[in-house]
Formats: sequence, C-alpha cells, structure tokens
Amino acid sequence: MDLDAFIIIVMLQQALLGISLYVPLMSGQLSLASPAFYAIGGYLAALVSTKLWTSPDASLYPWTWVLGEMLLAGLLCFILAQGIGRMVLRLRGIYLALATLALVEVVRVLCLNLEWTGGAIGIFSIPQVFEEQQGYLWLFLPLFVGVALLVRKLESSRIGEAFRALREDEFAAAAMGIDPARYKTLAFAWGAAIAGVTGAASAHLMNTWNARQGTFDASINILAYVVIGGPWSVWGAALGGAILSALPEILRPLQDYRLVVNGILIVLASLYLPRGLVPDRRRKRPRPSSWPALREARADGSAEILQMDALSVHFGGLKAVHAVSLGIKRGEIFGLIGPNGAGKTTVFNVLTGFVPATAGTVRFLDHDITHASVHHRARWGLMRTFQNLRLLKQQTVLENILSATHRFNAEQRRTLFPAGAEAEAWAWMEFTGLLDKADRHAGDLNYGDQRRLEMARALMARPDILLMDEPVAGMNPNEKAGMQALIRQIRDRFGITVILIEHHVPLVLGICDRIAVLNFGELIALGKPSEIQNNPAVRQAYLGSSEDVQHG
Amino acid sequence: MLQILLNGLSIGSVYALFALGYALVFSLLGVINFAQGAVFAVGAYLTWSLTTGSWGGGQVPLWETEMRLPFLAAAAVSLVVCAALSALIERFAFEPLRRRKAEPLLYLVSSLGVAIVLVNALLLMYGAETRNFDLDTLSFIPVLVEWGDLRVRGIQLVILVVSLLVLAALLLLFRFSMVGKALRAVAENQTTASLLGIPVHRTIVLTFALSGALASLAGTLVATGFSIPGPHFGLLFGLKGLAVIVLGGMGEISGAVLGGLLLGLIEAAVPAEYSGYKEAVAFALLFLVLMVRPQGLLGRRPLEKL
Repeated sequence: MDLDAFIIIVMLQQALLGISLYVPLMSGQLSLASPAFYAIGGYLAALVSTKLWTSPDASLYPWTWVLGEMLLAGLLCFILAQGIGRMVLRLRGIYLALATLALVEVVRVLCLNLEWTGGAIGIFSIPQVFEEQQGYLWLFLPLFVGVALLVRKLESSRIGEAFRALREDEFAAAAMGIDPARYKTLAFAWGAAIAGVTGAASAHLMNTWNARQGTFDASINILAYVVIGGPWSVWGAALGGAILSALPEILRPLQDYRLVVNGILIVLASLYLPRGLVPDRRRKRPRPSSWPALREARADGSAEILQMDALSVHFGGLKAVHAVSLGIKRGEIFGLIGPNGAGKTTVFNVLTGFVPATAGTVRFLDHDITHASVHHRARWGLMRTFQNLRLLKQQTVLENILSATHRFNAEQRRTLFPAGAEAEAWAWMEFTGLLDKADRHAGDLNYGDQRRLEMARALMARPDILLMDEPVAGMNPNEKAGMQALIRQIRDRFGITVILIEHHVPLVLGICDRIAVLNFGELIALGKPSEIQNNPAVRQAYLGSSEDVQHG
Repeated sequence: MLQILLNGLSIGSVYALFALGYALVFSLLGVINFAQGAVFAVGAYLTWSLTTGSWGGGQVPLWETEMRLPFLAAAAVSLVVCAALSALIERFAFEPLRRRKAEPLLYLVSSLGVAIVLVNALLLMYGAETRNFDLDTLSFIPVLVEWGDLRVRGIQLVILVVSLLVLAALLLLFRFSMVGKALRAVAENQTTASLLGIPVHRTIVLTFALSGALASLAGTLVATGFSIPGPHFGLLFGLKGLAVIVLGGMGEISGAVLGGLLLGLIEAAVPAEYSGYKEAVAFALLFLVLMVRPQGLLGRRPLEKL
C-alpha cells in the first residue's frame, strides 16, 4: 500500500467532515452530529454492498453502485436531519452541541447492539471499488472538490447571506424577514448530507464498518478542525481537517509520543491562532460611480393600516400592556410615549411578533396578524428598529443593509431594484449619511451611525410601516435634528407610515401627527401634540403625584 | 426496588460530585473545561499507583516500589495533586484566553488539547489494560452488607456516604461562606467583583483547584468501586458529566447534583438484558429533556432584551 496516497485520502475525508460541521455553523448552529451521520452513511453503503450486490466472480465493486450509495446516503441523512433539525431548533450554543453529541452516542450504542448492523464486530468484507487502496484518491478527490465548490457557492448565495445573518443575530434576521426555522434546518440537513456521503465512500475505503466509526471523540476532533482552521469559510474548515488529520502521520518519527505532541499543538493553536488559520476576510465592494434615485411614493392619510383591538400582554401577574385599542392611519407619523416601564417597547414587541399577545387582536392591511410569526410580519411589510440596536456587528454597513432584502422573492427584487439591490443600498447609505462607512464593520461604528444604519436597513426593505424604538437615544443635538428631518422625509418622500417611541419630547411634539400616551400598560391619552401637551392626566403620569403611588 | 434505588444513588452521587466540577467552572466563566474527565483519570491512576506501589506498565516499564500508602493517604495525595494540576491547566490553557476575552469555543478546543495530552500521557505510562485495586488496602471496608433481603457491597455504601457528605459540605460552603459569596459575585460580573475588592483571579484558580479535587475524588471512588478500564475511560466519564450538567441546567450548582442523582437512578433501573444500551440512556435522556426544556431541568431561560 502506498502510504502517502493513503494519508492524502484521509486528509480529504477529514476535510469533508470539517465542512460538514462548518455548514450548520454558517447559520450559527454548533452541531457535533457529523459522526452520527457519517456512521449512518457508512452502514448504508456497507449493507447495500454486502447484502444486495452479489458478485459473479471476485470482480471489483461497480462504480455506479458506489455513486448510487453515496447519493442514497446523502438523501437519507438529509431527510433524517430535517426531522432532527426541527426538534433541536430551539437549542442554542453549548446546549445544541451537547444534544447533538448525545445523538452521536445514541447512534453508536444502537449500532453496537442491533443485529443488522453486525453488533460489535460490524459489517466486514465490504467489496472494494479499486484494485489498490490508493485508487480511492479518485473517489475522494472529486468528492472533496465538488463539495467544497458547492459550499463555496452557497456562501456567496442569498441563502449564505441568510445563514450569516442568523449566525450573528437570530432576532435581527427574523425582523428582516428571514425564517430562522427554515434556514437553520436546511443548514443542519446539508451538513448531515455531506457527512453521510463521506461515510458511504469511507465504508469501502475501510473495508470494515463498525460502531467505532462514529464516536464522540470524533465529534470533538472535527470541532477542533473547524476552530483551528478558521470557522469563517469552507477553506478554513477543510484546511483544519486536512492538517490536523495529517499531524499524527507527520509526527510519526516521535512514535508513541505523537498523540501527546498532537494535543500540545492543539492547545497552542487555540491560544495563538484565535482567528484560525484562514481568517475572516472583509468583503470590500467598490463604490459605484452612480446609482439611481430612490423611488418615491406618497401615502394618502385616510385609511387605517394597523389596528390594535383590546390588545393585552401579561407576564404572569404583570400587565405590561392592558386592553390597548389604537388605529394607525396610513401615512401618519404616530408617537408612542410614556414614563419608563409604561409598556411602549412591549407594544412594539407584540406588534412585530416577538412577544405573543395574551388577549386582543392586531390587524395589519386588513389581515389578522395576531398569531403570525416575526418573519412573516416582516415579509408583509411591518419593520422595526431596536432600542438596544441589533445590527450584524461583524458585517459591513453595506452587508447589513443588503440583509434586509430577504423580505422579497427573486421576482419582487427584479421589479423593485431594477439596477440591482446593491445600487439601492448605496442610495440608502447616501440618504442616511453613511456613504463613507460602507466597508466598516457595523460593530465599529459610533452610536449615532449605528442608529442610522438600523434605519437604513429597515428602509431598504421598503416597509409599509416602520416602528422606530428610540431613534435619537444617545445622539447629540445636531444628530437629533438630522434624524428628525430624516424621519419626516421617510413619510413625505417614501410614503412610509412611522410609529415612534421616543423620550425626547421636542422631537415627538415636533414631528408627530398624533400621539398616544401609555402609563402602566394602559392608554391614558390620545390626540394631537397640542392636546397631549395640555392633558392633565399626562402631566400627572410624567411629573408624578401621590395618586401615582396607588397605581404602583 | 430498594436495591435499584441504592445502586442508583451510589453511582449517581459520584456523577454529581464529578459534574459539580464542570458546573463550578461553567458558572464562573461560562465555558466548559473539557480536561475535567482527563483529570478524573489521572486521579484514579494516581491513587491506584500510590496504594499498590506499581507505576508504569505501558510503554514505560512496570516499576514496583515498596512505598505503599494506606488507602486514605493515597486518596488525599491524589486529591491534592489533581487540584494543583487543574490549577495549572487554568494557568496555561484558560488564562491566556481569558485575558484576550476569547470566544467560549476556543476554551473548549484548548481544554480538549489538554485532555488529549493527559490521556495519551497516561496511555504511554500505564497502557490500556484494566487495573484493579488491591483488595487488602481496602480491608477496612466490609465486602458485603446485608439487611434482610437487601445486599449491598460495602464499597458502594462508602461511595454513597462520602459523596453525599462532600456534596452537602460544598453546597453549604457556597451558600453561606465568604468564598461562596465571592464565587457568586465573580460569576455575576468579573469587573464589578474586582471593583468590590474580590480577588477575581484567585477565586478562579481556587475554583479550578476545587474542580480538580472533585474529579480526583470521583476518580478514586469509581476506581475502587469498579476498576480502571484504561485512560480513555476518563473521557467517556467526562462526557457523561457534561450530560449531567446540561440535564440539570448549566451553571446551576444544585442542577448538577440533581442531574447526577437522576442519571444514576435511571441507569440503575435499566434491566440487565438491555445492559448493552445502558451507555445510551444518559444521552437519550439528555436529548429528551432538552426537547422539553431547552435550558435543562433547573436552568433559567436567558432573557433577551430587544
């Protein structure tokens, strides 16, 4: 046997497993399930080739059958993972890692004990595809190249964009119209399919397949591949897998000490290569020389676009919002004010679907949306900004704005952005004064710019209603005045209805058509700014009095 | 029934003891020390060597000495050595990352590296054979205790009593002592704790030492109660410990205890004809619990502020 060729085959195989962990990670899921699907794929190939295929003589196993097995294994793992992925959706970080690790152990013990998997001995004499073992290079090399290129393509696709948004901030992604459940399940299932295909190919390479093929130490090793190689791109995951699996061979002169040295190298790599061997590249995009002007639209201010009817949100005994009924007219700038803890943000959360309503209904564009999910509401045109800023911090300003186009399907994007979504994004950066910062990471911007970026991102989605939660908080007077002008333009030029939560009273009184005042979750006043200004109940709520204590 | 209960509580209390080490580090730093299982194995081998006087036997030739410590002294030495080892692991594999405020994933990988080093070092030294304790050194423990129908191995009773006593002592310590308060303060917010004059670094080192001591104690107890089936056993036990803390709710000290006892009981309840599946019970249980309660049994769901 040619040892060098064998090492290369193992490197490719482990690189593929590295990629199978990386794909779920793209969407922010730390899944350690790869060895389970790898084992399942291998068992499938082993069973098919030993039970179904009967060789007339001692000839080699046919090519077409191997490819068929690999396809079948990928498909089986994809379907299995769709089911499992749905189940583990709610788990995050280390909980997901442990649940998937549990899956690996359960699959291992099942395979060890079941009859048709051959018990502890496993399935042996799996027919060979090639005369010599090095021939498997011609199976693994094309497989690796194919998978790597596919995943590379995935990275630059819109699905990859959605994955990255989810990895950074699931709430922000959902608020942009990305369906977290769908994309996370998809990423999980693709990772599983890659592991399954690799397992099917490996069964022939190994000749024997048993429960030792998918163990939890393998899970942790694969995690080490991705972290040390760099969890930012398919090349990092692949390189990590190739290098770490070759290490024991490279260290062979050290004989029995090689595994100890291997461990030391892993410690050193995690200490001194915190970003991985292949670091995250900042994707710079050149500024185009020109972009089309933003499409303008006007709104007629008569019909009601959003209605709350006796809407309540209770957290246990706390009535955060209680029996609030409000109708917002199209083209209005509507202010929502009240003392701290009055329930303003909770109103936004229940309107956008982040918090379920305890009672009452929400109607938007004449549809009952009380029970719709966050991303559905976003898709229908209900967008928000966040009080505590939820930007994709590791991504550039331009990428943040582009993430908002997930509300639309391909056809809608073609009609809405005839010059391309990117051109439109540049126009919104110009509108919000972020042109010079297009390539900066959102997390590096100052506070005011971050607020403007949240607004630009929401506007890119061309919402019917924009809910802005404290848009001028933390801004200096100049910036506040600028933001006030922008908000007015959003309505006047683009016909977007605005609901505003703000503590800065001059701004609210200055631009709002109507204002609602909340106190202790209840609506205590509603009217024009001048009416609100002179309302005694409002003054009492803000300035406080002995009556106030009774409420508390 | 009572038999199962006793068997379950006995092994469950060791799980709890061991998992407490994970839970302490996690509650403090929000990261998992994967080397905990390897320290467990080191503790078990060390106690074995000190009581039997035999060292090596793997690549390192077997070396028999006349120096045999009484069992309790050996266990104590092993405890101290493992505490120091764990503190060293903090110094070399965790502190550099902590100073750089690295991602939690990196801690997992660097402690994995440490675990690989330790387990393979043990493998070089002792080989992969099963090691049994010299029964003479344990002669002060009755072999079998009988109460009517109930037959319990003496060592199991010792395991149960020792583990429960240590668990109770530690829970009281965390609840009421200054050390416990410092621990909770550092877990809450390191910067604030250090502003309040709490020696943050010393608290962290102390916690690692304590978790190392717990690992060693668990290792000694399991090894005397059963055997040492090779260094890799440490990693497998380590994985079970992880299952225990996730089951109970990460970072919840009492969750680790509850999870450990629960797991021991359920494993003991697996009928003998399905003993092949016993190893999977912990993980199947973990999976099911997480489906229903993603934050574990006693864990609190983190609040997201929008």
